[in-house]
Amino acid sequence: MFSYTREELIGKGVEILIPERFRKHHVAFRADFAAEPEARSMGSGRDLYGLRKDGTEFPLEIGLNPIEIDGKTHVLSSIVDITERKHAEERFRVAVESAPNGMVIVDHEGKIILVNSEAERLFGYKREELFGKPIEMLVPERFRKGHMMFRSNYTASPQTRSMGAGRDLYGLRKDGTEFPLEIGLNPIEISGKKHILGSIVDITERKRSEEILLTSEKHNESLLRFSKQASQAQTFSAVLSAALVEVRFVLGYNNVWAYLFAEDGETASLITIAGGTADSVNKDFPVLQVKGDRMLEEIFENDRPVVVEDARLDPRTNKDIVNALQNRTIINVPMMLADRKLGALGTGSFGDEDVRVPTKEQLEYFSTMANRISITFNRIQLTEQRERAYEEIKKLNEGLEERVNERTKQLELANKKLQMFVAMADSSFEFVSLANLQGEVFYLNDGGRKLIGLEPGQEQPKPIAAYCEPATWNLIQYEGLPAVLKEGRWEGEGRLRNFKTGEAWDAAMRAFMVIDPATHEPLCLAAINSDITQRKRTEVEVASRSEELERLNKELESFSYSVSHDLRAPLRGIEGFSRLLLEDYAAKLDDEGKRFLGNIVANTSKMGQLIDDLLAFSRLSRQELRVWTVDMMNMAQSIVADVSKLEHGHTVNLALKSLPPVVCDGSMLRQVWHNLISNAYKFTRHTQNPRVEIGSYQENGECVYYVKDNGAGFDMKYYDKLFGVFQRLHRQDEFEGTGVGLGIVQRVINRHGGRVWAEAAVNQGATFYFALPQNGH
Amino acid sequence: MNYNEVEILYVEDNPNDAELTIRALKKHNLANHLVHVMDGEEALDFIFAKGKFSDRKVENCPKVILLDLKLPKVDGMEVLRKVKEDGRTKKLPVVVLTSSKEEQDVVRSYELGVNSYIVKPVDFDKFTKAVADLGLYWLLLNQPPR
Repeated sequence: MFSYTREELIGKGVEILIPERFRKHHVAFRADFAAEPEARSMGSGRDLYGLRKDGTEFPLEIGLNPIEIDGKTHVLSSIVDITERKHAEERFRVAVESAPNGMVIVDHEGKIILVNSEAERLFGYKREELFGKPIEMLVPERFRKGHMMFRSNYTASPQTRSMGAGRDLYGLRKDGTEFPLEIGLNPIEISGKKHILGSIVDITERKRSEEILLTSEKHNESLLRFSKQASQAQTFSAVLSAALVEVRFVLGYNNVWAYLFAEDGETASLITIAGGTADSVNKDFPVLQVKGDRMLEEIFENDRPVVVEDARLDPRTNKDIVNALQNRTIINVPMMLADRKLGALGTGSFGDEDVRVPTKEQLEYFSTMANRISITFNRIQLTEQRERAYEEIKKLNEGLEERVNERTKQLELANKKLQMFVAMADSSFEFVSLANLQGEVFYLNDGGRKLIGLEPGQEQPKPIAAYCEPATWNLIQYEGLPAVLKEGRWEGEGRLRNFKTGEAWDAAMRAFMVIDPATHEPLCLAAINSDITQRKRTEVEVASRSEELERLNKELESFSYSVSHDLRAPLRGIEGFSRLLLEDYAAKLDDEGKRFLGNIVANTSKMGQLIDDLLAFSRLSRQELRVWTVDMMNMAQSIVADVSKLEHGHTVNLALKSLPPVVCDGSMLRQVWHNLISNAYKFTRHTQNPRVEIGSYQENGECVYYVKDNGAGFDMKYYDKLFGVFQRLHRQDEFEGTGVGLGIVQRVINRHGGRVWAEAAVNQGATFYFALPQNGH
Repeated sequence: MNYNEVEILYVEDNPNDAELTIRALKKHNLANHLVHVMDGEEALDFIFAKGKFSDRKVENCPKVILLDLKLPKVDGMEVLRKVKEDGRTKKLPVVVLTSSKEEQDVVRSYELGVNSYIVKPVDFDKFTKAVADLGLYWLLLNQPPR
């Protein structure tokens, strides 16, 4: 090992084997060991070297063991040549140093004992700054605590693995910046001690390219989704709504808009906008002036995206719009379709969203979206045009169909009407016929066929003359037809034939010309003939009955006349001669004889009165009513005057109240008033404080007049006899009378369509009412 | 009696009425020149100077004719019509004196030109007064046309 022979070394100082530079120290160390001998390795971590005989050195390790020989303490040194190991270590160091990864070795306490130049570059420290420092200085503050824990765990069970178990790891540079990294961990033993070798790779680039890849995937997926949505969209706004969903998700902007350029490039019209500013844009900026707006000019002139990073600062923007909408970043990309510039698709940030500049990829994404939207818009436009065209055709078709339907309906209605008219005409009992202008009958209803006695299926005669009796045909020929031709209609009566029975029937004939409402030309002749045979017969009967009645009336009249004239004459004779007897022969009669003659005179005058009343009563039925407006007040007053004159010496307290005028036969009403008022006077003759009240009141559209007295009255149980002719409820010696007065009252009022009634009690007076319809009759 | 000096022609078929009427007129000295005939035919004969009256002159009219309506042969209405139709007699006052109060009789009489229409009252006093009144009126008060 030392290239000496044994003989050359025994007895020599051990320092002969030690390089000159260590010898001095070694003597001191040796003395130390001798003072406290124990088995240990020498050098306590320092590199030890041996000196060969040829003067070369080699690295070695020495184990020291004190041994007792003959009671004296000796030191047994066990020496290993570690030249090979040292070489290996050097190779390792070089390898580490030249490794492309950053290499850091820490000891079991986590102190950095080795870094390579790549690690220096990664973290920005000189290695001198790192030696002996805890590894945690390279770990961002927020991970440090965890790192220490992970490290001690690792030290307990070291193995080769990558650090972080899938977590993103970051290194902390000297300048405080961080970078993503990956670390491989290897437990290594250096000089018999456990160390950890960390192999560090900066993955910033890889992360970035990963992110780009990820972003591109995200963009592609988004565009795919959008394409699907767009392909189903039917309107511009649906397309933009779908676009906004994707833009929000991918770009983080909250508004998307699309403007279409006018052909001349003067204006850009808003097609649609989706997002928070939609309302104000729709309202305030539906059309933008391109000229003079540098941003819009640029968009229009270039086929490239135009990005305004901060609209407030950028000189190209229209500040009025920017202030109104609070634009921040504005991105507009052209919408092209086969080299034709349709317009611009825009997005961007507003107000609080602040400036958000898009990345290159985002701009590309948005441009791609613009292309899709262009295609979709074009499709929608085409679809709309097609649909419009289709709608128009449909409308035209519908119009046509409607007209056809309308016409069909009209025809159906007309047909139905015709059927109804025919059915109506057929079911009529009258003779309904139509004849052409040549006088040939071409339609005859069922009723007509029955009336003229046609068998079912039997053809009706054509000429009108065939239906008529000769006299009737003459009438029609010379009067009816000329009237119809001249005045359009004619009515007359005649006799028509019945072919079955041979008996003619009486007809009320109505003929008229049927005129075409459109051309006003005569179409045909219509005749409606009613069977009036029965009526005629009835008329004849009625006429003969009327004659009979008239005859009876005449008889009655002559009877009345006879009564009036002939019955009165003998009475006058009886009375006259009785009076002559009284006048000329009074001396020859005693008192009893004179009284008898007086009775004869009284009876004849009574009979005269009866005849007069009876005649008056019978006249009431025959006499015609002659009505006019009668002043009832005036009439009642004059009658009261007459009656009170007749009843002289009988003073009555009279209350004559208001009596409205009424339309009636005045001479008849006079008899009513006269009878009622004179009754009232008559029946109060024996009453103390006689009172008579004449008045009226309105009730149910009738005017009720009444005459009320406080005289003798009558018993209501005889009420049904009250108005009977010659019926009396009082004895002749109490109150004279013929019993005709109230009969006359009742007849007069009845003939006026009114009512008469009475209320009374014995010795408590009577009230007679009569009511007349107020509007005459 | 000189039929050309008659003042009253009285046409009445009822002898009782006639007696009472004539009595009433006599009482007032009005019946001195009165001719009483019993039916319409006789009345017309007198008026138009026919039959037994053929020797009188139509022009010598009485001052008034008192005419009952209900008469045998020719009724009073017919007599009235003929008198009023004839130019020689139409100015002759005719007073209908009848029992009939019938409106139609009154109306027809006036239509035919009657000068007065009097209904005979049943009451004797009234009857007497009425006859006397009409005699006085027509014979003494009335001024006939010349």
